[in-house]
Amino acid sequence: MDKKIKEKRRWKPSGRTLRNWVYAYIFLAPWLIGFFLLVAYTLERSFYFSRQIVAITPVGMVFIPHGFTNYADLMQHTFFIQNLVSFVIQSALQIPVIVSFALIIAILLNGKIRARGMFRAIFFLPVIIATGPVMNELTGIGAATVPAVNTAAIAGALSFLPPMVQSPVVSLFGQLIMILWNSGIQILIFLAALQKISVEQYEAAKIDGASGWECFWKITAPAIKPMVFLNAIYTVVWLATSGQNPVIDQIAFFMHSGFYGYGFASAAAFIYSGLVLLLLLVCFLILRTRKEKVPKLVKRLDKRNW
Amino acid sequence: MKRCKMVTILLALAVTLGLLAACAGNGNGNGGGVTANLEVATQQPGAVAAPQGERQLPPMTTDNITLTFSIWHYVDIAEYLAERFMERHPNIRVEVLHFPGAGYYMDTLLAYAAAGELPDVFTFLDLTLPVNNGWFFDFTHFWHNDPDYHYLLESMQHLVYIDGRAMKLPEAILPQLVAVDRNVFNMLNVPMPRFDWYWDEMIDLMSSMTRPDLGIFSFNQFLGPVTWGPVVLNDALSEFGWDGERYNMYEWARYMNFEAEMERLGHRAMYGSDEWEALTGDRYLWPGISGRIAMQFDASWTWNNYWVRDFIRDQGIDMVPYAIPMGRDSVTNRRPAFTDFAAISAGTPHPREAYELLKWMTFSPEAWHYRNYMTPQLLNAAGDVIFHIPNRFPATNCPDVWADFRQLFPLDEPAWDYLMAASKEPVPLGGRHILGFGEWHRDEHAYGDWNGVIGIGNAIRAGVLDAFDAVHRMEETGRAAYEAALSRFRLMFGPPPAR
Repeated sequence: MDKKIKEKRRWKPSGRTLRNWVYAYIFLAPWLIGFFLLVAYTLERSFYFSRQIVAITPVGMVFIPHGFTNYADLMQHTFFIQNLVSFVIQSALQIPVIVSFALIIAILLNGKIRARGMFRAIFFLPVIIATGPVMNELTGIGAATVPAVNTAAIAGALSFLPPMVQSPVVSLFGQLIMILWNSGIQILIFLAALQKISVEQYEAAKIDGASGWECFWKITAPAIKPMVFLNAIYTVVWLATSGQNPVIDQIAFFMHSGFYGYGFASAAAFIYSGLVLLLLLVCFLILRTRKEKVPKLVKRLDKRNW
Repeated sequence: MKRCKMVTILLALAVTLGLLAACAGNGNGNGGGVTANLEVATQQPGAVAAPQGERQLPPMTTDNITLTFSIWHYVDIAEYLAERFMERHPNIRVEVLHFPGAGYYMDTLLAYAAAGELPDVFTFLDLTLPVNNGWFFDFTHFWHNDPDYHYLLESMQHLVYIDGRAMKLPEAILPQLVAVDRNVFNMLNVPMPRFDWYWDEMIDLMSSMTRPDLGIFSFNQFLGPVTWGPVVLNDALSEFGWDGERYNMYEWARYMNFEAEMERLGHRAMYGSDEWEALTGDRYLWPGISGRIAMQFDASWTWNNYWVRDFIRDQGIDMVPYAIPMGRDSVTNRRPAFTDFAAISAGTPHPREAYELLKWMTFSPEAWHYRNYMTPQLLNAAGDVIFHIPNRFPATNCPDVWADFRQLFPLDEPAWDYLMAASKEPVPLGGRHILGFGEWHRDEHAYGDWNGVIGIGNAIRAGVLDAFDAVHRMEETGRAAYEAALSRFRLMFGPPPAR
């Protein structure tokens, strides 16, 4: 009997049953099919391109092996490196601002206010209309800036910083409206999370004499922490693929440039993807939920009760 | 009305026949003319001596075929020329592809190339993209056997070649020029310069016509002495003193410093400045139409704008076209001109016919006659004439084409005679014909780091750099960029042919 149990355990190291695995893969299937049908091959080709000089001749593509020279050249490309550093700094500044703003707005929109539906629609509207070329047009005419914010004065005050650092900080103030526009999805995710929290928990806490502030930190914050992580991940990806991102523009420029070409652009894209993955890893390390802590705490409490 | 149209058509036909008779006389490989022109061509770097003797092109197909031709601008003229080409060659259908916008044109061509549909004949605005992707068809064989080749302007003959291979022809030539405001000169009691003025006279006027009390500036410029000096003073083959293999940047440095000084001293009308707004009430009023500048350094396309805008003349602005003045010791008559080139796709299944279309769309005297006929008749969507005077100057040296062309300009203004006489040895700017120029210019002049200042041009204008201190570095990096681009060219097209 013991032997049988041990064998079963060996086949189920994670403690999940076959049914769990099947369900998991059914849910994963659309993504997996999409990845292998549409992404895997192009990813492989792109990596291949990045190690070639790619010429788009009138009779087809010509590949001239180039090793990892494109990567080495990019590491010495001043403007590319400058754009990458600016992107990291800008993301580090914008992610907390966007996520915090989205959380505050979500809490407000979750309250009992008049015309709540309309306000929710207003905050979500930019996600639908202010994308792609529309966004470019709007930023082009200065609609993404708050005229009252004197970015020149801020730039002057921060002139002691190197331009690579100063520029993203100033642009944060110059793009306050854009940050608001970039919060639509995050607000929606937070709203969903807030609505999942049981009202009874708040009622119980209130009976025990908890203030609203305490309720927020002891009930709301732990409940939505996974959503903070999710929103941070979403924001990184959103900013990384935004049409206003200069790195994306630069990669497109490399691609269409006669001098650089597809090979160089592919190498740039891989370096950029690596950096974005690194940012995601940082978000994960900072915001992940450590599950093991809860059982330990429960065990301690249980022992005390015994 | 109908009769009037008939008369016009008959006149056009008569002129065409006359022109053919006049310009086709030497076109059958006449030894004298060919040799004479070859001498000009082979003096230039990159040119290859054509075989002597009878020139004859292989026959064209009699099958029904379709050729595509792409252009970014002036599609009406291209379509009109395509129709005339189809009349001459009924078995060939020409499809004109119009990709508007200079900024998107090359990207669109790249997309077409990626789809395997690069037009059989295409104009291009940047040399690097077609070279690095191997788009050019090497038509040396046709060129060397073409009895008509000598109709191409002499100063353009060597530009047909890249590394010894005939690959491109000039599709549009737009001379740069100086617009001199007669009204301002009269107001200041300064005599107008002679039409055949010299370089030093223009330079003197640049620093002497400013009158701060009257709100008059000596000049405004799009391109100016720094671009022109090396060509008109040193007979260079392009800007930055390009001699075919390297840059000689002494004149560039001299006039870079000079222009920066002129700006600092306030001789140039700086639109966008507080001073300009205070003076004109419009911060972004283009100085060329402000009536406050003695000279506008510009190009032929601007002239049409002057011509069509009545309100400009109502303000008393009376611009007179002057050719860029030559240096007193200049040997040639070269002047910088904006030049677009056209080429044949390496993937065309009909190279012989594409070559004929390329000639037709570039320097063919007969086609130029049609251009001269059609240009003044083009109307925009509102029904207004587009070209009160033509922007593009002939790429052919045929005297009858030039005589026709002169008729399209005001006949009572002798300035045009001088300008036309000065426009027969145009030289293009670097980006269209010098390998590696675009990258070098971007990496050094525009974005090169000079002690923390981005852009050597900016550093000079800001007064933190003497242009002469940058000459050695610029010449070296320019040479390196050219060699790198030449290597890439040879990677795509193979080593140069034996000379």
